[in-house]
Amino acid sequence: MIVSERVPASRLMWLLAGFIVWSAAFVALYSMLSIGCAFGWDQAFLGPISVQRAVLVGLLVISLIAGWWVVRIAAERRRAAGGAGLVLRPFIETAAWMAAWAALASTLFSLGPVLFLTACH
Amino acid sequence: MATLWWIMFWGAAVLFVMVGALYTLAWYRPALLARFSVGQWLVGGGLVMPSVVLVGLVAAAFVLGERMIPRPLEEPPLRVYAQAYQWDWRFGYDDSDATTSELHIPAGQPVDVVVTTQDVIHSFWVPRLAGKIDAIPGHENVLRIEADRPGSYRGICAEFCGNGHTTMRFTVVAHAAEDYDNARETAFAEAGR
Repeated sequence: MIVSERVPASRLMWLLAGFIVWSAAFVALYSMLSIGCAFGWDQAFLGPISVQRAVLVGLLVISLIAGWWVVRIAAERRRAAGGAGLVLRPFIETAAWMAAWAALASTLFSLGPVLFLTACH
Repeated sequence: MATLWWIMFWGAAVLFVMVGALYTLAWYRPALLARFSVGQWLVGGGLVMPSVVLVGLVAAAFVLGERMIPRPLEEPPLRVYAQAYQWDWRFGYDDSDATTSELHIPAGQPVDVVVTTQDVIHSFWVPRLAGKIDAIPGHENVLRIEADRPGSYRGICAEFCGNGHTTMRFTVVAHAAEDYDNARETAFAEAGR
């Protein structure tokens, strides 16, 4: 007999939270990149950096803070559910915590290049 | 762009040989592989190895992508114009009102192609000369290409644009610098007929 655990949606949500932040950051940066280039923000300067770069890096920083916040909450929920170390128990909370870390690393890896790549041409 | 192709080719070849070696070991020397725990295989093969491959590919793409950007040169390169429509291309030049159905460029020097479209989104791609660039309605994208030597280089539309997409091919003809003007005059005469 298979006994399935009923998992409320709120527990599952934290599995997705990190990558929802990642996807929102991706869409925000991609669209602001095109909007900024269309409006010539790369030609306007705030001190040493262009407005375009300032907007993109600002969005990146906000995304990283949001991703870090998800990691903290996922870690807290896992600890409260009795999880510790690198053991996959309790499963949902541990997977959510690891997914949050993966999403944060992905945000830095895939969006971090706004720090140095050419923004418009 | 051929550089990125070769990087990917040799990367894939190394991975293929590695996987083949693992299969061989699993078959003939299972004890060797059993020394590693399941966790080590998962982290090594599922996290570390793909991370190394991805970081390498992304770094190569960044470097090559930056090189594709048409930066201002001391001597501004020749500009030509590519207009896409469903489902063909017309090519124009600064010094003439006439257009051609093949793009004529001089070989051995950079040429900036100003790409746009009169209807839907298309994409200009001549694999041997440069990467792809989208043709966007109401917007001009500039792609810098250079043919090392005279010849014909095949191009295609690389963004699905409707029923005729698959036949939306074109040719870039690179001429020796001294033949360029004459060759273009001939092309204009043919196009005007």
